[in-house]
Amino acid sequence: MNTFKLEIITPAREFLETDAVSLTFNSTDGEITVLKGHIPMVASLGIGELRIKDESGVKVAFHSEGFVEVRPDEVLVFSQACEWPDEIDVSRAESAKERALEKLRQKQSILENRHTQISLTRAMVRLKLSSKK
Amino acid sequence: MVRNLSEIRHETQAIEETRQITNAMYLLSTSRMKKAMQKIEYNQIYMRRIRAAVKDILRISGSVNHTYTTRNGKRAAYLIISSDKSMCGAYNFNVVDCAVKNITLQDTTPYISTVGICGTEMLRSKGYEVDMEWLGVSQDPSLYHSRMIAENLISLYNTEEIGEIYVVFTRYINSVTQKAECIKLLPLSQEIFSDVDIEYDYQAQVLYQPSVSDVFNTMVPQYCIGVIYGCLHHACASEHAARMTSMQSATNNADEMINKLKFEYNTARQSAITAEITEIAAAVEIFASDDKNDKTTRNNN
Repeated sequence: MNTFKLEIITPAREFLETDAVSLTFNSTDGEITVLKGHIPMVASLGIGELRIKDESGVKVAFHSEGFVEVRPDEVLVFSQACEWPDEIDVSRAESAKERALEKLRQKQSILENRHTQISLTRAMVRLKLSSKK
Repeated sequence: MVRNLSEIRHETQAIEETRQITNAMYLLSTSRMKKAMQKIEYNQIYMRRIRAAVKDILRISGSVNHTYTTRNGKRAAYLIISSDKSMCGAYNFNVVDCAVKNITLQDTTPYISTVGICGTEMLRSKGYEVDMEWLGVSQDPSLYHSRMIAENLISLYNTEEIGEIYVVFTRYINSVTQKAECIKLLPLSQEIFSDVDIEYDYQAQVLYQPSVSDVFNTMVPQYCIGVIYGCLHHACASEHAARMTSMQSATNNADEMINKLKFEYNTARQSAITAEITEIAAAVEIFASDDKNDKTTRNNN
């Protein structure tokens, strides 16, 4: 199989290091899939789900903001936080969602509003992923 | 001079109580340091990789003119990481010293953002105005905290209120050596990454998704969050290591003092006993001679 070296790195832990067939992530501009032989690329990472296909099958995980560096020899994913579906703290995401929704109903500055939207997205994606497992 | 017995006993007791506290703090900081160490170990890999990646990207996009690579604002911002609790030897002094040394190099008033009460108070007493204080972060730094700190600094940078960002923290080298350091966070330049090896030498053109400036807009804040997170953890481990060594020496000093006092107590007790015996012996002698005198006077009668 045509595989490439994939490393997913977060500040708190080394999330994954594997030989992957394909990697799908949510960039700020929409979903991008990387296969072996992709041209060098730097993409900004939004919030969404990572789909990693390797020899053992397809794995799904949550990813937070960051960036992706595609090199001819390997792919590096730098994300603030990555979680497998079973690691997601559902009650925490639930309360984060409630908090964000409550904040959106109130008057906020543009910056605050953007922050709330980001935390809402984070909570929604986490909940969506954890309900899938 | 030989002191009173109860006085010495009282002092010994007081020192023993202090010794218990310092010993407990020593044990506590040992376990906390071990915990912080584990986080550092991994974070070091992350820091190395992210710095190498940013260096590569910066190098291949050398001609890019972006807010994050040029200095726009006038003031320089300093994020100074110290501890919330004291009793950790010269840890806080070293950080503040290093910060002051760097601040005095600037000719404008700096924007000072601090983590930890000890450092904040020290800077205030030196006459610096602290613009932003982050409380309760240094004990258990989390990603959330580093995100808050980074966002605050970056939004000021974007509005051109500040033109440079420095982080002053204590790097954890090993459990006996920690070094106060000042690193430059923004604007990015090749010099910042002079200690990083080139990981991959790009020959071909690189694709930026969605665009170069957009990539920089998201990548650089992420990089800052990562670096601040790393610095907070280094500072946390250094704090515990510094507390560990200072508490250990405090415990040793207490042991030494207790030994000295024990010796003094025994000497005092010994001399008290000797004095008592001498008194008794003297009294007996007097009584004996009184007895003799009594007998002779009776005989005379």
